[in-house]
Parts: sequence; structure tokens; C-alpha cells
Amino acid sequence: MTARRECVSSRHKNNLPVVLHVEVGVSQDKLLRIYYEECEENMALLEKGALGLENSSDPELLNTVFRAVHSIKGGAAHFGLAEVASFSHSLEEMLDMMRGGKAQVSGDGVNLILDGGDCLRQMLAVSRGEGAVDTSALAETLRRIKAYIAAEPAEVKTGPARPSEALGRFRVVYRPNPLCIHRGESPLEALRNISDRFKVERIEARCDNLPMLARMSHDICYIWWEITISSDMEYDCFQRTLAGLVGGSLEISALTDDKQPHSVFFDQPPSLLGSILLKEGMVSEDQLSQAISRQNPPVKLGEVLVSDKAITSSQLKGVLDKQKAASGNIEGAIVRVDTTKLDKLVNLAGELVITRSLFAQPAISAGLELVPGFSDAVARLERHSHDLQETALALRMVPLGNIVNRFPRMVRDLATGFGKKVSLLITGEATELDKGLMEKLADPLTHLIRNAVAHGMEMPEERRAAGKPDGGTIRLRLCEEAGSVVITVEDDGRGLDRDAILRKAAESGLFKVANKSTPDEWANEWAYDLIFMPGFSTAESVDRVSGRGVGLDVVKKNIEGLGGTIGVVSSPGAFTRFVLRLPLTVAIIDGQLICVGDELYVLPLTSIIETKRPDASEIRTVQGQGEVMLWRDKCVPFVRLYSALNGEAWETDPSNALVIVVDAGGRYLALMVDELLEQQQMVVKGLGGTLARTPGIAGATILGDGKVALILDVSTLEKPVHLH
Amino acid sequence: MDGLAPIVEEAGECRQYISFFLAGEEYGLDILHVQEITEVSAITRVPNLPACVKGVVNLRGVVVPVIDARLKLGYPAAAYGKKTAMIVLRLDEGCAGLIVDAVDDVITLADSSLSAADDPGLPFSSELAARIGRVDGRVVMVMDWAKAISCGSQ
Repeated sequence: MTARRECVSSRHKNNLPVVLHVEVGVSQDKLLRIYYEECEENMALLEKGALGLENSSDPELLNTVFRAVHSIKGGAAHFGLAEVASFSHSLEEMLDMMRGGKAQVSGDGVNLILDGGDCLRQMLAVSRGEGAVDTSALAETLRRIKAYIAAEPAEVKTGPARPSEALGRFRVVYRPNPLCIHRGESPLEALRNISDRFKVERIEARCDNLPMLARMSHDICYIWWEITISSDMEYDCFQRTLAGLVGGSLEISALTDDKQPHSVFFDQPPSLLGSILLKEGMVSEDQLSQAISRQNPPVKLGEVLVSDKAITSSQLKGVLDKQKAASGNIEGAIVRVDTTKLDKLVNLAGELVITRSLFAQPAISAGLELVPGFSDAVARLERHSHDLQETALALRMVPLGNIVNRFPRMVRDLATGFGKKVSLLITGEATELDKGLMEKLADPLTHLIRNAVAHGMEMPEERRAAGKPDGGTIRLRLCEEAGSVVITVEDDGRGLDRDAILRKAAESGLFKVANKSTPDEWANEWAYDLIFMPGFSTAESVDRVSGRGVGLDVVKKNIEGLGGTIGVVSSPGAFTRFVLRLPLTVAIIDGQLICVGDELYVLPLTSIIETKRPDASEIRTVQGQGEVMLWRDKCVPFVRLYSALNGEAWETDPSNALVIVVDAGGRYLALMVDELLEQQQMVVKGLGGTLARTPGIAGATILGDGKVALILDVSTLEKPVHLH
Repeated sequence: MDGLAPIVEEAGECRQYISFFLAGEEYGLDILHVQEITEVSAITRVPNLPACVKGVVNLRGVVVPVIDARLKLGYPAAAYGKKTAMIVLRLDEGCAGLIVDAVDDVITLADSSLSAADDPGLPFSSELAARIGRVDGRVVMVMDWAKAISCGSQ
């Protein structure tokens, strides 16, 4: 097999034009970073496809996996990552076997694909300078891959994808995307792929697009190729196979002796109308090829088919929509941008809003509003600048699919490890979240799902005994609701054991049972909330009993750190459901403007519990130094904000001032302020440079008049106060 | 004085400096560290910081800390007037504003014309890695302000 490959490629090697690779330090670095990012995406595609293959034999899944490995390989070759390239080549070869040979891709095959993917991931990490390769596992996987390849040849020979005696000849015009080199794809690689797979009769490079040397750019491909291939494949099949091998634009025409060659243009594999129709089973190959042969260029294929009455026009519309969706996925529609550039854009857009008010105010007071059209223009400017700001902020949003894509694999591996049967259903992957939040969300979410598999789900026997199906289901629901993103992780496992939780909590001294007559009086929600308590997680014994409580305090802390909330609902024996609510973006908060003397500060609205004018009798001194306020049934520290902030106040008598009770990370604080101003949405900014970690200050925001207001961090605020 | 003056003179390597005044004394600031020079806009005080850190300002949507150079060097505080300027420095961790009495000019100094402050004969402290030089008969103190601000405002 290998020998023949070599022979085929060497026969054509001399005909292949050489594409110049120019190494340019900086831009190569940048490209490499993009390559690694793309590898991440491709690895996700690979896993998703491989997992799908477990339950379905859809050839498109295998194609997806193949394309993913193929692009990793292409980039690796371009960047000189020889090990990655050679390994992915083996993997690709195996996938090709699976694709070409009609062999059912069994569980073994899927495992092999996944293991291969793991090895690739490790190797990529190493080339980035992180982690290490498990060489023995790598060698073992490679051995298994080779064994798989060796075991398959009989089927491969008869497979439709292998070259054999020429039944038909095709003329292929291959025009790579001019930017392909910039993206790390190599047309040369594509041509090698073609000559590996097909019997190439003639290959000719065309240089008529070549510009003057001075105008030539090192990362643009100017050359196109004309290839004559003989193959026993049907036209349509040939077309699809070829499109799977190379990107860019392909123009394929069948060379037949008696008929005029017919040709079809297409860019990307899934966007071809004919192939979609075939796949949907709406037309037969005969009907299609007839229609294609009678189709004159300006007339669309779909119209020919409709006039043939092969399909109805409503069917055509449905298929065209699909075609549109498929071509919408083409990568050309996406631009990668550095987040710092986005932030700069957000800053400038915000600044524009401020500048508008700076200019409108004096203009109006100078009587300019009487000038016809002026007010109108100002209003329009305001609307546009707001729109611009919103659009800029929206650029930071990315679909949650980016992080949840890794979970199916994780659930599968974990469940196999525990001997459980668990499937993961994800809905709403397209829900968007701020990129900054997203990165910090990955860990807590992973934790919750891992918990659900490890503790929430019962063993199959246990499930059967409880009258449930063997296989459990974890549902991960993502949606947007009233300005926040809601994430639900629900398992249909054993549920939370309320009594065990209460017992455990009492044992670890989280509360004293004696305080209440019996724990039975406690509401379920109250009891369930105990699993988020810091002391609760350390106990190992409870895990088996209650099934929960591993590091949930950390999860809660992380989620709250992102400005979100987490809650749990459960029904014993039926389900456990964790509900996470997150703000859409960290960049914007709902803030309450407060006055302390002449200074303005911002309190995050989410931390405010109550605002009141205190009674003199409610404020007490403790040990002659600190002050407390009696609030509800508690004594909460009373903080004079003006003194905590070293500022000045209009009022030093609490009964003439206002008090805001805030939740400072689980504890309450009563803050004394002079006045409450408006509530508004604010763009959060860092304090800049060396001030980033000032205690008591979480950040800053820029107000409508261009002034900076500080956002208070209530959790670190009260410490210096005891000194006063 | 000429911005286009040859960089290399007989005296060895030369650098350009922004010269500014503090309490009548002239200082130099390596021009490569300077992002821009602006007026002092509305400063928001940040509590519980050393006195020389006046607070933060809004510089085209970016929140930038502001340091009063007088207070940093131990001169008495002075009210800000018409000539008061803020030199925006480019630091590793972002930007910072340095408030000075007045910005004067761009000057070129040869490295060799600067004498180190740890010369025991000179009457000032070398804490901020200051050097002293002469241009057109004036005395200019040169120091690494980026470094001084980074380590001093915490």
C-alpha cells in the first residue's frame, strides 16, 4: 500500500510546481497561533464526529472527522511540526480506509479515532511548549492504527474510492483560494492528496495570473492547476470525493468521447445543490445527471429539476435553505480579532457617547438648538453612537458551544470508567456569552457535569431496580433569559439525600441542630443549599451517601465571582438540577451611583439588599471601636463609607444619612452614604497599571460627563474600618 | 534642539528627552517613554493610596492613574494652573499620567554628558537612578520615570 503510494506520488512529483514558502518571523508567529486555535476547533469537530459515529453510520460524520484531521495535518506540514504531520497522516490514512472501505466503524474504530485525537492533542500541546507526550501510549496508538490499516486492505481494493482502470476521465480545474497560504493550507498538499487518491494523467500549472515581481506577495497563491484524472467513479461521487480532499474552487468536467463536457462549479462540499438533493433522497442519480446535462449555465439546476417535475418548488426552497446554511458555515465569513483590539473599539465607542453630550450641552445653551435640524442631528448622533457602542460590546460575545463541545467526550469517558451508561443532551449551544466570562465558566461547568456522572447517576443495576432505564441522561440546557444567561445541568439520577446532607452538616458543625427543634422543619431548598457550604465539601464519606458535595463551594464561589448565582433543585430518586444564572457580559454591570460627600461611587446592584434611613438606636458601638447596626435579627458591621474611603461626608450623624445593606460574599455590611443617585448600566474598566489591586475598589467606570467613578468592592471594603 | 539633529555625535550616543519643570528645576524624560502630553482633566480620587497618586482620569475611554511629580519627589504641593501639564507615560502595565508644572521642549543629550548621581560630590539622592546633565548652560536632571512610577505607586 505504502509502496504504491510512493510510486504514484513520485511519478508526478516532477510535474508539481513548487510553491514558494517565505518565512517571515512575526507573521509566522501569528499564523502559528491561529493554527493552534484552529486545531482546538478541529479537535472538537473530531471528537464530536467520532462520538456521533457510535450511534450512526452517516458518512458525513466520517467526512467531518477526516477533514478535521486533514486540516491539522496540512497546517502541521506548513509549520514544520513533523511529528504532528506524520501522526495525523497515519490517522488520516486510517480514516480514509474507513471512508473508502465500507467497513462499519465499530466501537473499536471510534476508540481508535478518539485515542488518536488525544495523542494529537498532546503533541500539539508539546509543540506549544506545554505538557508532555506519553510516548508509550503514542507508540501503542500508532501500532493499533497501523494494525487497523493492515487489516483492511481486502475491502479497500474493492472500495469505490480507489483508483483502478479508468472508466471515465475528468478534467479538473483547481484554483486554490488566493489566501490559502496565508491560512496555512498548502495547495501542494492538496495536489499530493489528489495524486495519492486518483490516477492522474496530466497535471499542468497555470501561471497566467502571476503579477509583476514587485507586486507579488509571499503569502498569496497566484497559480492554478489543470488536472486530468481518470477514475471509475460516477461523476457525482468523484466530485464529492475530490471536494473532500481539497479546498478552494474546483471546476470539474467529465471528459466523454461523444458528448460535450458538462461542468459544475462549486466552492465547498456541502453547498452543492445536487449532492444535497441526492442525500435527501429527493432525486435519483439518473434524474440528476440528466438535468445536469441539459442545464445551460444561466439556468439554475433547481429550475431544471422543477420543470422536469422531479421535485416540487417547495421542496426546492427547503433544499436551497439548507444549501445556504451549509455555505454560511464557510470559514471565510469569520474574522479572528485580538480581544485587546475589540476592547479598544468598545472604549472608543463609549467615548463617542460621552463626546456627544460634551458637545451637545454647550451647543444647546448657546442657543444652537434653534437652528433648524440641529436637535434632529444631535438626536441622530446619539442614537448612532449608542448603537455603535452596543455593537462593539456584542463583538465580545461568543457562542457557548465553544466550551460545551468538550463535554460529550468527557461524559462518555467518565461513564465508561464508572461502568455507567450516561448520555449527554445539549441544547442551546448557540447561546452567546462574553468571552471573558466564558473562559472562567469552563471549570465550574466541567465540575458540575463530572459530579452528575460520578455521583448523581446510579449504576445500571440500581436504575433498573428503581424502574428506570439503564442509561441515564444528563441534560445541559443553555438559554438567554431576561438579560442573563441561564445554564441548567440536570441528571435523572438518584437526587439529593436531604437527611444525609443534614446529618453530615450537623456532624461537621456547619450548624447546631439544637437551634431548631428538628431539622425536619427545614425546607428542602434550605437543606440543599448546605451542599454549597465551604466546610461541606471536605467530607469523603458523604459522597457515596448523598451523592453530592464535592467542591461545590468552589463552584459557587467561581460563579459568584463572575457576578452570577447558582441554585439546586432536586427530587429524591428522580433528578438533581443545578441552575446557573450569569450576566451576559462582565464588561457591563448594573450599578447604583452613590454620593459620599462630593464624590461619586458605584455599588454593583446585585450586591445591594436593602436601603434604609437608620434609627439612631439601631447603631451601637462595640468595645468602643467598631460600630454595628441591628438589622433584621442580625448585628452587621456598620461602615461609614466616608471614613473607609478617607473622604469627607456631608453628614456624620447616621440618623441623617442613608444606609445600604450589602451582601459582601456571604456576610452582610451596612454602608453609610450621603445620597443615592440613579441606577444605570455601566461599562466596567480596570483601574489601570499599578493601581489594579487597590483594596476596596473593584474597578472604574466612565460616567456620562466623562468623569471616572470608582466601583466599590464590598467584600474587601470593611477591613480598615475597625481601626477607626 | 533640532529634532532632526544627528543622533550620533562625537560625544557618543545621544537620546532625546522631553524637558519639564518642577518648582523651577528642569527635568528630562526619555522621549521613548512618552505617549502624549495633555492638559490635566478631572481627576477622580482613589482612596487609601500614597499622597503622590492623585487618582485616575479618563483618557479617551481608558482609565489611567495620575501621579503628581512634585509630591513624588518631595516638593511642596502646588495648585494646578494654566501651564500644568500631564505627561502620559507608556509603562509595561499600561499607561500612567505624570503631572508637572510645565513642559518645556525636546532636548538632545549625549549619554556621555550625563553624570551619575551617585557621584559623591553631587548633592542629591540617587534613589530614582537620576543622572544630571547640561544643555545650553542649563542643568537637567534625567531619571527613569517609568521605573520610578512602576515601583513607587503601589
